Amino acid sequence: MKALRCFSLLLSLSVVTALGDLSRPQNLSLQTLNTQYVLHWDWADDQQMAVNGTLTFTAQYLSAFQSRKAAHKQKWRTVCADVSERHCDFTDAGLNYWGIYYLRVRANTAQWFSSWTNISFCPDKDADLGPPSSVKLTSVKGDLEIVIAGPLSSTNESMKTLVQDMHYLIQYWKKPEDYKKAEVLKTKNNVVTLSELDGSTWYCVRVQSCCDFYNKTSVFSDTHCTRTEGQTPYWQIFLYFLLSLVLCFLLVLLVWFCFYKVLKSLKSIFYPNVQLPAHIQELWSPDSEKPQLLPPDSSGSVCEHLDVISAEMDTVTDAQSLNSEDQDTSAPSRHGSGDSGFNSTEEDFSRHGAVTDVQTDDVCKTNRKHTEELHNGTLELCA
Amino acid sequence: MDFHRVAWLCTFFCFAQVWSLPTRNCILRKDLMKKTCTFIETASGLFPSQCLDDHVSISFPQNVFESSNTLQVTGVEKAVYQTLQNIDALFENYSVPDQWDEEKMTDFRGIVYRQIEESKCIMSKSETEENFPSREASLKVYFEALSSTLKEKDFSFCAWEIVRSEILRTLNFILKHNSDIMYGSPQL
Repeated sequence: MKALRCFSLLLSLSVVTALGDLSRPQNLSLQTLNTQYVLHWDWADDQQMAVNGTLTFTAQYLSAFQSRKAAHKQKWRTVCADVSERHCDFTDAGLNYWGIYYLRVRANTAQWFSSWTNISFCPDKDADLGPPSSVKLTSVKGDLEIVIAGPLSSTNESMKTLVQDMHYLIQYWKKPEDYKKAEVLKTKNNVVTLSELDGSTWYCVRVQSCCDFYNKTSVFSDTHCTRTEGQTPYWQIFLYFLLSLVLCFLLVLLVWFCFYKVLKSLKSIFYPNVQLPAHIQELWSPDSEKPQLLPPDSSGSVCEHLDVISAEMDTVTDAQSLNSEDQDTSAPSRHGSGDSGFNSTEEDFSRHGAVTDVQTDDVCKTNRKHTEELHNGTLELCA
Repeated sequence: MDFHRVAWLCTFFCFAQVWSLPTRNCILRKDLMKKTCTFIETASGLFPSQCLDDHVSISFPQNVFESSNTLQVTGVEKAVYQTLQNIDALFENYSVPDQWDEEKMTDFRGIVYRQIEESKCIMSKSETEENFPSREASLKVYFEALSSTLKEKDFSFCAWEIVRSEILRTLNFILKHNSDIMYGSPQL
């Protein structure tokens, strides 16, 4: 009984002394994906007030076979030294995928350090497998072709080199239905053809990578949907046939119409409906009598006398010329006056009508003069 | 009455032992064995020519890994497991030469240790015709010959190369002849 009391006292003392130390990290957990390993831990934050200075953590690992040696002979390798975060990345620490490792963490301050918290880890056994890195779905002649690229390690190598018995689980279903009604296909190949599918139907596919020995399954990849090629339905064939018929008909109609128009225009040019009058049409015949402008046997020139009256005379003389005009048949040419001059003289004639009666004698005189002059101004036109 | 009860209990446990279904890990893995081979093979180069004079012939216990009928499969399994244990013990007791690749040797020892830890339940299997004790004895003689070679040649580089070549021969023999008892055949 005394011994028991003594022992319990010692135990309580040791517990009290331990509380003076820094508390060690807790809840060690590994977040893994393929060959990426991140160790997370918690630390009792209620002790934060008692901590003087900054709090840091140190994380180390050891190959499990070395744990049989004495503690001072064990070669622990430090991965994170005095970090303030509550996690440490062991991806690039050089952990062999097939070995067993012990990972340990402790908390440090300037004066104190806590005891170590250990965890055992074997990547081959414990690391989660990631989904395939890419899934491509194409429709090929009524079948679906799936090209799968496997999950990649942190060094961008295929995980198949590390996990020998890795295979893929392909789930495929018709689009309106759910993935719960999906069919499952297990394969080790990277290129898979799904056959015996319904034509012209939408199918959806998703893939996950699996490892048999430890029953590891990854999350599913993204769902890809595509439509299979299929036989065109009969109504579609019939519709296309009808459309092509109508088009052909319209085309033929257009061609015929154009041809008809061309023909019609040609006919109107060379064989018109409207006939020329007979007396004109006669001119085109070779033996008809054509009106002659000139007698065919006249060799010499034909001359005509032309009286030229100057336009520079007075309006009275103009009136005179008008009277003389009644006698003359040939039209006099006037200098510098056209039809407008002729019109104006008509007006003048109406205005100066009375004047002419008075000035007739004078006019007669001037007329005589004029005629004399005129004899000098006679022209001979010859053709 | 008590005797009857005990008899029934005994027979029940007996049958349970014989008919105990092996768990997933009660099997050796072919891919791990292959990796073990690769690591020790690449830890150093080819067998050096200067060590050919030192070479001693150590008789290889071929019969340990052979089974005449299907009832001896467990015996062979145990023999393979025992081989791994002996290899582990050899490298645990003596340190390898510095010329060897330290990282590869660490990986090698790690994977051997893993196989030993994970497939421990193989040793608790039992079969009627396994004749494991004789196999165990032959293996013990073989590994003692290896360690004595090391001691005699004063743990020289050549001595270690001889031991390495012997271990490689053993592992390759197991892979060639005993793949059927291991997990990881080509089919799905």
